[in-house]
Amino acid sequence: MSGQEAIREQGLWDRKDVHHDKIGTHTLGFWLYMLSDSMVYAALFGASVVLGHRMNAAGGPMGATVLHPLSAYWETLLLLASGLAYGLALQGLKRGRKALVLAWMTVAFLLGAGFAALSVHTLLALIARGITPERSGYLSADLALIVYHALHIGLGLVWFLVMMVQVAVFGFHPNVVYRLLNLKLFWFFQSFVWVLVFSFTYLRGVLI
Amino acid sequence: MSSYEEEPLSHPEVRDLDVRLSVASFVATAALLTFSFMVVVRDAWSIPSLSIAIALMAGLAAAAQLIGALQLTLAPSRRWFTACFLLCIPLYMLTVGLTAWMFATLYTRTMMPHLMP
Repeated sequence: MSGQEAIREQGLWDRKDVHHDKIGTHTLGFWLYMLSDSMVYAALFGASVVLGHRMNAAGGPMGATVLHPLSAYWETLLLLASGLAYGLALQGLKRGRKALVLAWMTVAFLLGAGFAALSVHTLLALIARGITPERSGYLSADLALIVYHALHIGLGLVWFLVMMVQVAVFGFHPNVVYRLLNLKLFWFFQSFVWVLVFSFTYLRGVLI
Repeated sequence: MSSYEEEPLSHPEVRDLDVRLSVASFVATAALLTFSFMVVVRDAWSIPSLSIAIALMAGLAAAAQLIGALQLTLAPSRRWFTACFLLCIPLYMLTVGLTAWMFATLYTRTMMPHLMP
């Protein structure tokens, strides 16, 4: 095989049927699912852009009184640190060290739980002040986006617990490996979305 | 049964995991968002300048997450992931952009123009 053929062999434009291994098929399939989920995020961002106007506050509170950038900043650091810890857990996977994977997954879980706890605390404080989604279109849009992301984090934390049990019981079985890779896609995608939520909902929101 | 099912840790997606990219992504994202946060809470600039700074930092931080954390690169084991995401970008732009465009003049045409900024 010539060098050019070898490049063509690996290219996106390869016309020959290629073998799909189990791990690669599962991770790519899950990534496509994540991208369809991201369209829901896009719709929520679209609603947030449209309703982020003081006429849609219906005389109620706007970003400067509802949003707390400092609290969101700590949430940001916790979620990013959780992602870093999971990255280190995956390095343990690469080296085949189960104890290292479990240790760093525990750290990632605790940091993620810290993020979730801060989110829930912030939302409960808003509800206690009568700041609820039904108060105005503006609050509906922003809170829907924040709660939708928080639900993903909650689901991710449950997934972390399940995978820690699976790693401990089954070791690095192919099914466990592809699920760990899928959890990576899921967890890091939530960090990516949070970057946008923090920037455009919290930081830009307090300027409106 | 493929060899990856017997030795899953030899799979390219496992072998291509790079902790240095994760660390670099964490540092870059944290630094960029800290900058955004500081300029907003210090009320350092005018609102248009702050909005541009927030958008710029968000774009760079998002890129750091995509390349560093999600490893959307052109490596053989990653290029389809990258291609799928890139093909979704026009859909994001249409979803957010068209919604914003459709409502852009709605307030001035149908509601209370004196409340417009």
